[in-house]
Amino acid sequence: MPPSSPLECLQRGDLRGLEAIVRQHGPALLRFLERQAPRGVDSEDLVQDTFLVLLKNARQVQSPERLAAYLRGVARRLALEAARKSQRRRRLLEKLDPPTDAAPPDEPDDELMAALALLDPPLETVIDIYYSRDLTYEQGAALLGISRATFQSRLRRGLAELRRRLGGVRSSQENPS
Amino acid sequence: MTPEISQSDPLSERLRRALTVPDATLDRLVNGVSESCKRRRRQRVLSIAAAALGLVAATAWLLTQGNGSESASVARSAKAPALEAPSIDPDDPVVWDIRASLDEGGSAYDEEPGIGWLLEESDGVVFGEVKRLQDGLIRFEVRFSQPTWLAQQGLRSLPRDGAYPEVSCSRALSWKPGERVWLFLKRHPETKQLEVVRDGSGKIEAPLYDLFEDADIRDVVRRRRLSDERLASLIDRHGAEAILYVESMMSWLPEWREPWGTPVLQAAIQNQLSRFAAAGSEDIPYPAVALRKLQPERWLALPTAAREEIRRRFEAIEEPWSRLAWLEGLHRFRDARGDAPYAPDVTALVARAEADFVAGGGKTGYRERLRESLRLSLAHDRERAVARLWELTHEIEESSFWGPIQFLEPLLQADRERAEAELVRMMGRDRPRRRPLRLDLLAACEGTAGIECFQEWLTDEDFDFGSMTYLGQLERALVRDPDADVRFERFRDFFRRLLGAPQPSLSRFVALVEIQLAQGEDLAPAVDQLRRWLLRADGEDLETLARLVRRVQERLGVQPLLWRDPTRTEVIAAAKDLLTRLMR
Repeated sequence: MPPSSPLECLQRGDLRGLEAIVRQHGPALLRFLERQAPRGVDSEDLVQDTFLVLLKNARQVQSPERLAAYLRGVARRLALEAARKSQRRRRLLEKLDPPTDAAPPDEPDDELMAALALLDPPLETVIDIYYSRDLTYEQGAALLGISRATFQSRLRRGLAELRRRLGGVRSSQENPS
Repeated sequence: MTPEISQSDPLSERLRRALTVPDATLDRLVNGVSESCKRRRRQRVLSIAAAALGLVAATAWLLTQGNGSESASVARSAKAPALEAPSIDPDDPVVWDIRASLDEGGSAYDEEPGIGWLLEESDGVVFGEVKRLQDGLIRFEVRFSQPTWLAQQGLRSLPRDGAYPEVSCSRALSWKPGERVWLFLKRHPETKQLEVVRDGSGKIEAPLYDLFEDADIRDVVRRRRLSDERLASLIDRHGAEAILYVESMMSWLPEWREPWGTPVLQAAIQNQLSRFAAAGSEDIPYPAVALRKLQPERWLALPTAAREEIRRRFEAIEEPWSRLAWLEGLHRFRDARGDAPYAPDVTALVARAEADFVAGGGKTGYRERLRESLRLSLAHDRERAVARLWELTHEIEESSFWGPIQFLEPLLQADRERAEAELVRMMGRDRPRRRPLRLDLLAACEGTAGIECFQEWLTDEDFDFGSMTYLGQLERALVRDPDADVRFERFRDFFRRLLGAPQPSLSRFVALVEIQLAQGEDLAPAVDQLRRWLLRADGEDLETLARLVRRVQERLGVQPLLWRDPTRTEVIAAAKDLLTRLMR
């Protein structure tokens, strides 16, 4: 009998499956949420909430291959809800305490984050997965349930798109001739 | 192989700096999720403790049926731990959208599968209310605080807010908003999607949601019967219709025998007919069913005026099948008109059936009505009816196998010796071809030739009588029919020998065990063969093995397997447990 995937473990009620999933998908999800979530919202909290939703609805995920997309969908929805709440809170705070012109705190590489957020979701996902944990193509492809060739192709396209948006920063090997 | 993209070029370096998550952050995430899980679990325990009590009880009784013995712990330990996360808030309805399939034919529902079948096939049973129908989508609302029966712990982990577009139900079942239904659910082994068992026949007609309450179904599952008092109260409340539903529900139990002859039930049935006679309209349903179940002495106990009124109502019926249904009951009764007051009605019924049979080209429905009319006629005009039945047997023989054997059935009562010889001839003729046959008729033979023919069929290793069709026939003939005990007595030694002999297939062996148990016999002659099959518990035919294990567990009074398809691990664990007991 083939070994169970972490998702299958979780679906059977084994919480060790959840820990493995957090380790596999958590980093990429955290970076994703840092781009999606409004300022002032703790991205790590949102990551935790995302996995709690997974815990509750694990059986909705039909296969390990769909897990990454599922988590992104949940995370996106949670980020949106957080943004709405944050907006309401900000409006309330503005009534109590009008905003100042003070500059927002520095964000690490805002330009890059903004460019990433504009990528097509599949390309964005591949880049997150690849760079957030220093994975190989095989590892990344396995995590997303796609072939190595597809993973590599998306990565190339994603980097090319990023480069275009960032104004011509080129990778030495991303564009094979 | 294409080299991997370097992570040392400027863009990659920038991405790595921006995206890489340090190990410390990752550990914090893992710990945070883990802590959140524990917190939620504690909250859940505190907030739903009271509400969960009922659910736990519902699950518990399923897990602790029988004496709660060793095999229970084996079976339980083999189960995967329950998923902890989803909370069950009794005030928070779960809404499911189930898409109706485009198949509106409804042919799959012609044969009602019966609750037993559904229970065994289902992963869970829930009670829901149809909220809305729109564009082929059926929206159910399921409240866990309503009479909801959880057939396994896994059901507690159902997603609570998801839609199931891949689940199909047939629109042919005419769902109506406001309707409250039992849904029999099964988790698809591959897609993990929840499905309503057998494409929507989770909705069985009235029996389960109008008539029976939770406690009834539990009684059927646990004790395999409903008390006479409960049956009587069902008849009082729902009329003779209840008889049909009870029979439908119980038909899956081989050991179930008709209870209608008991005084309390006869009184309830008689009362229905009194009410029917007194009612100004036809608002007492299914009087024909009540008539068929009523004993002749109870008929005479009805007031004369009531009997006259019932007869008057009968005479107004035109439709031939309805007239047949009424006459099946009425013709057994005598009253002031004499011993056979309904003989002319039966004669007229036969004449009508003959005319329709000819006009309809001898098709199945007309053939059945003619056979049943002639069966009634045997009580009034025996010679003529027997002659006609033989004519039909020989007329139809050349063109159809099922035709002649159908007409032999009433002849086995009316002209036994000759009919048995004909049956043996037909069954012997078809043995080399393994054609469909009627083991039940053969089991009813009293002559030596018939008995030997039956035994030859059952010892024929190339014939699998363990299929549900033949098992049903055997149960009918040897367990359920009023003469079943007498028939079984003729084959008692034969069955004991057969049980001790190696069987070519597990299904054959299980069929023998089922009959033996249903007849209240012991399993002593089967022990060696039982060990043999249990030792092969890792074989392929898990479903049949589970059936065997479950039946033997029940007989031994130990924890039966759960009311759903057990997993391979559970079956093997239960089989090992049984083996240990048998070895002692």
